[in-house]
Amino acid sequence: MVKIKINTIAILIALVVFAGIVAISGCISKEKAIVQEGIQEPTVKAEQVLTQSSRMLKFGELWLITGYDPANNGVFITEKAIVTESLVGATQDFKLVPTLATSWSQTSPKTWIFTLRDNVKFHNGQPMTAKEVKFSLDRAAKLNAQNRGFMDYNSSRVIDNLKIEITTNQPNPILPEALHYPNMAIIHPDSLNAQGNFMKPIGTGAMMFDSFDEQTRTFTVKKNPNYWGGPVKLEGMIITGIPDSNARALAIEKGEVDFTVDVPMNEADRINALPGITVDKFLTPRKYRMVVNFQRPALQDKRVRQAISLAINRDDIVNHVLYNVGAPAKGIYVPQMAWSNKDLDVLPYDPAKAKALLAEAGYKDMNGDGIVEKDGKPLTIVIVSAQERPGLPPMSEAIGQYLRNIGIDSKVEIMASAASSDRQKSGNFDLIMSPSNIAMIPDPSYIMDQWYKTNGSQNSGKYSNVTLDALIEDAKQTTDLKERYAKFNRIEAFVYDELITIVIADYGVTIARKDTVTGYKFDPTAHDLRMDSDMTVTG
Amino acid sequence: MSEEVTTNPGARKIIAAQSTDHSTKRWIRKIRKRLGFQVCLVLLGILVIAALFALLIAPYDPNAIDLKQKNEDPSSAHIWGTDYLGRDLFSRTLFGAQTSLLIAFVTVACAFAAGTAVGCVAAYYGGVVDEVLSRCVDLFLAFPGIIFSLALLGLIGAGILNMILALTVSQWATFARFMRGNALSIKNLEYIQSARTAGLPDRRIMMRHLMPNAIMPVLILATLDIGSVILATAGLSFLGLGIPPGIPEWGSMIGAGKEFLRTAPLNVIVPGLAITVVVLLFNFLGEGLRDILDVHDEQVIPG
Amino acid sequence: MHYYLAKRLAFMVLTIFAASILAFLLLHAVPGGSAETIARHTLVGLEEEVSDLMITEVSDKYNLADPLWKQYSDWLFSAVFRGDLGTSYVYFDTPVLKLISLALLPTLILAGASMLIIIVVGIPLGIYSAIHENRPADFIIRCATIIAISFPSFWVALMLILIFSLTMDWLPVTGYGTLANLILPAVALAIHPTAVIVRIVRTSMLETLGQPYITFAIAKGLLFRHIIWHHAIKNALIPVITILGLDFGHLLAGTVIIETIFAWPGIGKLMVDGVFSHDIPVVTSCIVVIVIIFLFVNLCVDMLYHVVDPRIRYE
Repeated sequence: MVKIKINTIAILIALVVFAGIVAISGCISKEKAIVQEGIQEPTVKAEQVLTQSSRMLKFGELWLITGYDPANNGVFITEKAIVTESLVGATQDFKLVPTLATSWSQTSPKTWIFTLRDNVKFHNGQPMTAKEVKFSLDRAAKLNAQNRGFMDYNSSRVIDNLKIEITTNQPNPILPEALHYPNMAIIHPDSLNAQGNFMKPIGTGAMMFDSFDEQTRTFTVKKNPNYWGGPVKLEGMIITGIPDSNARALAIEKGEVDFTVDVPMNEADRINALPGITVDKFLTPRKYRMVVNFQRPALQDKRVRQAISLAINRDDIVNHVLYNVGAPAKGIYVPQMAWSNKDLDVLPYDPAKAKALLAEAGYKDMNGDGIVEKDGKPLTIVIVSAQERPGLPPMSEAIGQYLRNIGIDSKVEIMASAASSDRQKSGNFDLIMSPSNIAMIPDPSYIMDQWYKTNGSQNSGKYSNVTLDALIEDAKQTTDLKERYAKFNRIEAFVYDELITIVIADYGVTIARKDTVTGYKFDPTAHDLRMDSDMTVTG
Repeated sequence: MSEEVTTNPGARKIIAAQSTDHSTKRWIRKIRKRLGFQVCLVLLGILVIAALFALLIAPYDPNAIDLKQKNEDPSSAHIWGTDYLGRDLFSRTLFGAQTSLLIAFVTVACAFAAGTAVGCVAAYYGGVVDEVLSRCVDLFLAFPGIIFSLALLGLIGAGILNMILALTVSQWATFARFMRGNALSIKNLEYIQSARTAGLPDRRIMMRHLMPNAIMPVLILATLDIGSVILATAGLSFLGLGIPPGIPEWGSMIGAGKEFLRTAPLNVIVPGLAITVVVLLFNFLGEGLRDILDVHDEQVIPG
Repeated sequence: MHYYLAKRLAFMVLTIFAASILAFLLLHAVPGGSAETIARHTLVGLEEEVSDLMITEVSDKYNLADPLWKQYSDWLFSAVFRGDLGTSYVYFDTPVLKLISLALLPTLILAGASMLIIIVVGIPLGIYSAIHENRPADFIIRCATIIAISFPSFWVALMLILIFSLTMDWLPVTGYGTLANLILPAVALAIHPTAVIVRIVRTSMLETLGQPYITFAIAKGLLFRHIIWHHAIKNALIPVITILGLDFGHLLAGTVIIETIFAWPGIGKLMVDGVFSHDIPVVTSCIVVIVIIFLFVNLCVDMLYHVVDPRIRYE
């Protein structure tokens, strides 16, 4: 009896195992089929249409594709997939240029009139008019408080087919700059279904939405034959999100993608040296900086802040922690911005002077333990840092060491960004490492307001200087560009010298592409990067 | 032990005393015979001492950063080389041992205490108490591996205490279930029954008779569990959830070194080997103990 | 027997229910922090400022300010009666059920492939080791397994990547869709449980071989090979079945780390990503699904155990 049963069991197990093998290979080959199907179709069409052999670009992007509604995911759908566009664009030096809007003017403190470009067609063939613009902006403001805040949006009114009037709650001199933000992109109402849910992005951009595979999270776009900007060179893109930097590096090395961003910094030079691949390094409008807590008595003394800044060897950090992806900071803004103060240089590295300054401020090492004290209390500085942004944790640790070198008892605490922002909000820190974006809106007032104004939204160090507040407000309201920039130059010089925030380095990005991809131009005004429809992929 | 139990309390005491003596001498004799086990004990001893006295032994401060010396190969200055920030890998590994062993010992001790207490009580009283406690244990056992700890750490954040808490919560149930099983099999032995009929207080019976005899296999489980906890700690820190970067810990060293896998693989290889060797030693210890104490139970598998 | 089955199923449902409460409580205990983390991961960017207005908006959208018991019961009712496990906070407007159903297959494939390796490699090695007890082959296998049990699985994964992908360029590292993509993760996941199985099979086999009826069979003059195949193995494998069931649970838990390393789009990775971005509905549902699978497999294994060895009786 037992014997028969065991045999049955053995056979059952064998069958299950066999079935498993069949199922596995079946499923896997099915997956392969889905992916391949997506690629085959457009290539065939392309060869029929074009004389020059060009094909779809395989793009391995930074983040998993979690959505493609511009109101929330503008960074993806506007800047990377280039399916939708905003009213306003910007040049390499962050000056505004017309995109979907050709001109704009502030007609009263709280109203602006935007004139729209004529003969722009949506991907469904419909013309773009003020009606669709109103629809998109209303929606962007309604769905996302950040959009609303940037624009200070109250309402908008269709004046005629190509004119729209936008009203803000408070006078907002930088509304056009706010409209540069990728979430404020223009879509056609048919992007929503009958219930009002977002279905697919019907925009005006150089690429048209083709498909999205939910299993592999691959997003496919094909070129827009009726693009208002002229003939589009790029055939189309197959975009996958690869969140791990090592995986992105491997993908480009193995040829699984043609184009990718942010390979591990220490690999950039090695991959560049490989035949057939080029890795370029660019500066982005993001700063590695330290927010200083002005509630701490020690840090209220400018000499202490200066000592801290002098102790840090920015060149070594950029060399050995960032592997030269990025650059030592010169000023609060990045050099390519039209309004940055070109006279500012990298803050010096001078640990001897730092120690002297500390001594001058009353901090001396009395008991020979390597830590300086004042009135019997050691100078302890807690550096808080988030762990997600690449380069940030090792940079924080290196800075901790630099401070220890001049006798400060520094403690580095690295944590998830949620926890770090809690510390920031509650004021429970001395210094916080922050990789802040300085051009969410391409205007000099953006960070001045947030970082340095009393009660600025990112002024967690609680710095307060009424004179500075007035200067910032005055500069912000100045409409003459030259004068405006001159005023902000002076402000920048002041805050840079005062070390209200201690800037370390400019954040860099690496763009890795196969040599068969040509024509790419980097746009520093984008959040991570902007894809370029003038690219071609040969071979 | 179960033969010829008389009703004479004096005789019982003598028999019990004799069997204890007999056991200790027996164990020492067995250890003497096993060279491998002795070597293991010695190595573990060295490890624990090294971890305890890391401060004195380590040639460098494990957090001393020297950017210009990053990713150096092993040399006379740095016997295991340096990491991606120029920190001495040998010193970091040594201090990592401190962290790992601390967490592992405290976690297993807590899980052991909680688990054996619950298991013993459940087995002894039986009935409703047993049902309720067993359902509790089953509930925690329904979460395989580090699932529970993962979610808990994601919520309460990183840190040594948090790690100990999260891992204890996921480990105690295994001890409870095992202890209960052992205690059940001993509970019905005659001498326990006699003690009960004789009217000895419950707690006394549990503490002095039930537990000591049921506990040997559980101790082996505890030894093997140390290895598991070290692996779990490393895994969670590798993901970025366990010990915050900065405190030297093998798992987070591997996690941080991952992006240098190709250019400077020592960042990953050294801490990984450290984990393997230490877990190996504790596994040997557990196996050796099982052998010596003559416990034949394939079910002794840590969760 | 049927009574036993019914009782087990009832307990299983109860345990799943309790586990879901536990998982839910775990993740919802910090309301304010969650709204902010969610906003950061989805709407504004990790380091950007989250205005109070935005926190309120997110909080309202997902009812994060409701008392915990209400949030839980809302979730439970919609899960049980509508099959709606909620909507992910991170993957915009994507139902959690959809995310999980997409992720389930890859995890099952990975766990299945690892299980295959465990059975096909582990069991024969264990038997071989037992048959050649105390000979060099046995010694080597025992050494190898005790070392393999001590490796951290994620470290093994990285070493495999270093050797087979980076240095020798034989296999891809990440991705999903071909058999080549499956090999490294499945092997990395399988190493630990395979080593465990080898040791258990060996012990069980040795015990079986030491039984009187085997000695009797030898005395009767039966061929050793015949004895091994027809008597020893079958009986030795009985306790192994339970272990395999337990192992499946360990495989499920192990997928969490392995899937993250290899970017394998399974439930483990979904859960880890969800934990970091405080995507509460996703993490809660992942935990519940994993628990359900684990309990179900255990139940099946127990039933199988009973079928295979009728000497076991369940009250």
